[in-house]
Amino acid sequence: MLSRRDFLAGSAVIIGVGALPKGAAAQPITDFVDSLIEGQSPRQGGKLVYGNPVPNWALGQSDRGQHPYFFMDIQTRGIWNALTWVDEELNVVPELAESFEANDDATVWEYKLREGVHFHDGKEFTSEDAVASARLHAHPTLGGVGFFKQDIKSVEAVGKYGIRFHLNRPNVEFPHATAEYRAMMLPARENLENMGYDGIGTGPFRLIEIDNKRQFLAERFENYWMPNKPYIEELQGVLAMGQSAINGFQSGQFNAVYNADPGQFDQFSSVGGVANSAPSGDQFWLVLPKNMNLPWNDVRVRKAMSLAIDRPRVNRIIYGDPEGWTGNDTHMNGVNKEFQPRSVERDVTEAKRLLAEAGYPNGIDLPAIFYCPGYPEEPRLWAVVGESLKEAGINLEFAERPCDGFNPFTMAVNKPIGRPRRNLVGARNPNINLSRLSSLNDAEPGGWSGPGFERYNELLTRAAAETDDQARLAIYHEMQTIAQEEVPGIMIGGRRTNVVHAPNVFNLRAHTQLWQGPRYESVWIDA
Amino acid sequence: MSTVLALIVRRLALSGVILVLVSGIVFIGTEILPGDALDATIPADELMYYSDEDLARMRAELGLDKPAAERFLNVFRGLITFDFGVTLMTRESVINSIIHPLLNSLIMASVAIVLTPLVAIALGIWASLKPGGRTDGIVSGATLFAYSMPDFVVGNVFVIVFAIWLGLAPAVLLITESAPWYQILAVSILPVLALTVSGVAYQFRLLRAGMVEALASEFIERSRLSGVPEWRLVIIHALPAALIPMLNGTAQFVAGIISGVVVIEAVFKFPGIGIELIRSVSQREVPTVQAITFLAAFAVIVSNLMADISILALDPRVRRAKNDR
Repeated sequence: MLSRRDFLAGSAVIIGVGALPKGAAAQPITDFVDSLIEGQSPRQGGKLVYGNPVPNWALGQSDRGQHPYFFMDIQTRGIWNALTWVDEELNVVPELAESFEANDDATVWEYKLREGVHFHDGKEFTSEDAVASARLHAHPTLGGVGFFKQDIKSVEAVGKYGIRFHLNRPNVEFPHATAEYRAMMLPARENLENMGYDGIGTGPFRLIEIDNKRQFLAERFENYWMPNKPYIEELQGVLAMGQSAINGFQSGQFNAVYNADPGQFDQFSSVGGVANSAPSGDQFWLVLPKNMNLPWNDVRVRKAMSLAIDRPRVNRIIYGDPEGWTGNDTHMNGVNKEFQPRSVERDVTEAKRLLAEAGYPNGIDLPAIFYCPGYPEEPRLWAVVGESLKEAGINLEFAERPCDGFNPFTMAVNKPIGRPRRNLVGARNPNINLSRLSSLNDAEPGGWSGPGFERYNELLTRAAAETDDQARLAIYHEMQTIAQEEVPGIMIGGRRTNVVHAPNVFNLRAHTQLWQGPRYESVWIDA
Repeated sequence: MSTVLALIVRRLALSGVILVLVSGIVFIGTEILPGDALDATIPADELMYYSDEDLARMRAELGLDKPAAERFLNVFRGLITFDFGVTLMTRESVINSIIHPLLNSLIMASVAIVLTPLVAIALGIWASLKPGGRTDGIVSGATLFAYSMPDFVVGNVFVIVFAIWLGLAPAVLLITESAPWYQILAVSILPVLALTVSGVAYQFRLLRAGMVEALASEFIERSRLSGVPEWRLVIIHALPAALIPMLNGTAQFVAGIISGVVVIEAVFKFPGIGIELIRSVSQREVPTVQAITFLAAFAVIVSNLMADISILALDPRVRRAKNDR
């Protein structure tokens, strides 16, 4: 287990995120895959059946799971690929792109596409498909990639194997956005509305059937662009909430479980399961709408909440990781080398003092915050958070709602901010992380306003254009300081992506960015 | 025969009246009391998030701005023509979204409905052959124990024992909602058994009591003395008489199977109407809840009708009593 000190000290095991030097062609993805199987004798064949206890929250939008937006889970890279991929060190590398470079002010990014890539229906992947896909993802109503919508002004083809993005603003970290789990490359269709619903991608497996309420089945794509890959013949994913994950694994129906409840690791290992955890993973952000007449409109109440939450206790009790990192009330993740921890971890006395100053000397009752059990341990996690808040006299109910339909439920009122809720936040590059608290995001800042917010937005724009790493780092630190002072929202922190697999499954790895893994090209099963 | 026909027609007419009443109750329960459908879907502490414009718009979308009588007619017309409208969230046809889960549950429930009385009959005959004996004691005790266990306990025990320990059935149902009926049937073994457990006990006790009484009756004794084989006495003479009270129990079991199905489907993650009902209730999908509730009531009415007809066919006393009137 990595200690918090290691995370914070920037030691060799800490993985950092940064923009690529302008014009660099990053290390090919094939090298990563080959490095995993070096020294092994992978066998061809076998079926990987994984259980996923994370409910499909896209069900509230559509039952049509062939589309990557509404797939069974966000592990879309079994069926599709994107232009780039973020590796386990959180560096962005080409995937369906061969290279990418930016102009001087990072407002134009040009990607050279990999040649000889084919879709599952045999059609070659060209710039026509890349441009259509990007336009779909950036479309104001049809698109499903928020970072595309906020950044991209226009897209054009450059010959048969090239695509050029024109951005609304400079962004030295833009290639991270093209690695997103919904930013998949799809066969071009005349009508953007019809794109993506055929389940066709360029990924290592071809989709055979899907019921996005329950499971999908896919078979090896023999014409995959990485030769002789994948090794396994069939891939099946099954939604396995509640006891189903452990039951399925114990009965031998699953040879892997993604996102297992960490509290069940012992049960999995008692039947031979091998658990591996990434250095970090998704985190939990509390959206606190400040545009209504609610007590947390007062910054002292928000600060009190942040000071009262016992994050180390969450790490200890829920994750068995007492030295794990804790959230710093921004979307930054402990694995970001730019991460700046809060100056005080917990201070119940100070929390009570702030509440008294705000006019609540005897404690306070806050409106319920909604969550859906996106991860199996969440009900327990929120119980621990609620209990720790009570110690400061803060009564706050965390109300559970079903995951399918959660987004429409939370956004049905008080638009565009929505209800008080928790959002799942993946570990990303600093620009994307910090932009989520800016004016580019309608919801998550919760209606944050004032001089601090204005300064924050100015700094974000400067950072996106800043090519000097040290200067950019200083900007990121200042932004985090502002957010920690004004607490527009609260970040809990501590989770690590995990994968549990049978001992005869090789190279099935957990990735900090949940949706970037596992990469199936290197996975094989020893019969 | 015309008497039987008259009885069936009367039953059908009564069923029609009950259906109308059920529609009314469904309407009242989901659209009027204790407030309208909007009040039912939005708890008091969440109302602060809705502006007056939001509420007015939602009321108009749900048709709540129309008079209750007009709304009831619309609901009733939709229910009896099986036109349940569209879902609130994804705006897709309700019947399309529930047809596969409905069929899946019908398959599972049908097998349980057929299997349960058969098992009850077999156990009832076995136990009644020597009332008070060891076999009777063991079977009665076991069925009572099984009957007292909640469905979710039975379901989880079955998964642990038969799926995980013994590997005789799947622990997780690896099946899509729209899978063909034979695939649904193949994975239904444990859910059907779990449903059967709860139904067997009560029907067994009714049948056993009926068999004991029948086997002790004079006409059976007379037949025994005249040399009729014991198996014939049990199956041909005593069983039909003992079946009648059991069939009433079977009808009750069918009526209660709806709640059993919901619990069992949740335990096994079976792709049926029970899971869909849970999902709809938690998402406050009123049209879907109305549809499922109505269809469940419809199924109960039909099964009771079939039970009544069976009793009519089996019991000459009922037919004679009607004739004598």
